[in-house]
Amino acid sequence: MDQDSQDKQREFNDEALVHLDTLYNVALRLTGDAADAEDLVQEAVLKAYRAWDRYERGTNCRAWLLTILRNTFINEFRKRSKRPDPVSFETVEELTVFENVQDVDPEGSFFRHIVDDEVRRAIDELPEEFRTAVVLSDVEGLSYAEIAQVMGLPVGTVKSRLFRGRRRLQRRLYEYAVEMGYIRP
Amino acid sequence: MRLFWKRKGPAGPRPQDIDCGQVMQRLYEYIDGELDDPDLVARIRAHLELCQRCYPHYGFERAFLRFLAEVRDGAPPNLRRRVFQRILEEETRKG
Repeated sequence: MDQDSQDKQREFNDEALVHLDTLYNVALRLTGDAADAEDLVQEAVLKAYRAWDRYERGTNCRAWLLTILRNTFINEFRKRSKRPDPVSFETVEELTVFENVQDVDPEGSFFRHIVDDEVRRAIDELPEEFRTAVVLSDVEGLSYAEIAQVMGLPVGTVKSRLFRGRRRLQRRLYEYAVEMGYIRP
Repeated sequence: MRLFWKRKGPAGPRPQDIDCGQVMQRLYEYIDGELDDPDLVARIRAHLELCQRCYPHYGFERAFLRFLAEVRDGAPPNLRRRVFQRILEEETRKG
């Protein structure tokens, strides 16, 4: 292997592959399946490696990689995704759960009783438009501008999706906590 | 709205400079540190400090977001190896 290839690999490793955990976590929430998530990450990373010369140095590498990952998911993986069709946009209540819990648990202690697997399931049930925004923001800590870049949306749309996605997720977790007896309805 | 104020506030923006509905509308942006307008940030902060209705709601939303941040899956250990393998194959193929 020539020196250029070695340099490219080293640079790609140092700048891009440090984000592998993020790519995998987002891929897992997008596909809902560990094997599909690994395939998606491998495809996306390989595309990124091929396009590495076109990556503008000093810009946001994480957002660049996540954009490739999401586009790969939409173009190649969504058709074979194992997840059920998402609930229609209009049918879910998006009122804040705080109104329900303010007298019995205003600090939201009931969240602490909910196991991680149930939270993952609730995230996975969100429609993709909301799920991606919530995962990028609330699990991976991206800014609104970064999410807008990854999803190819205006920042205003990101805000609205985040708002609605969070409210839906909160409602789903609250309903689960009520079912399990962690909180009085 | 006056009923919700906890106590008299310090000099600066007054809690009634923004109403509860407007605070709730921008609450996530406030928590996320995404508001560009420092005056708006100051007005929301002053309101939250003194509003007995909005402050607990603010605490609840923060607890919810802190909780979500903990649900993160790291890449399996052998994924890194597989990714490297794909890159090496790519380089070999290019030859």
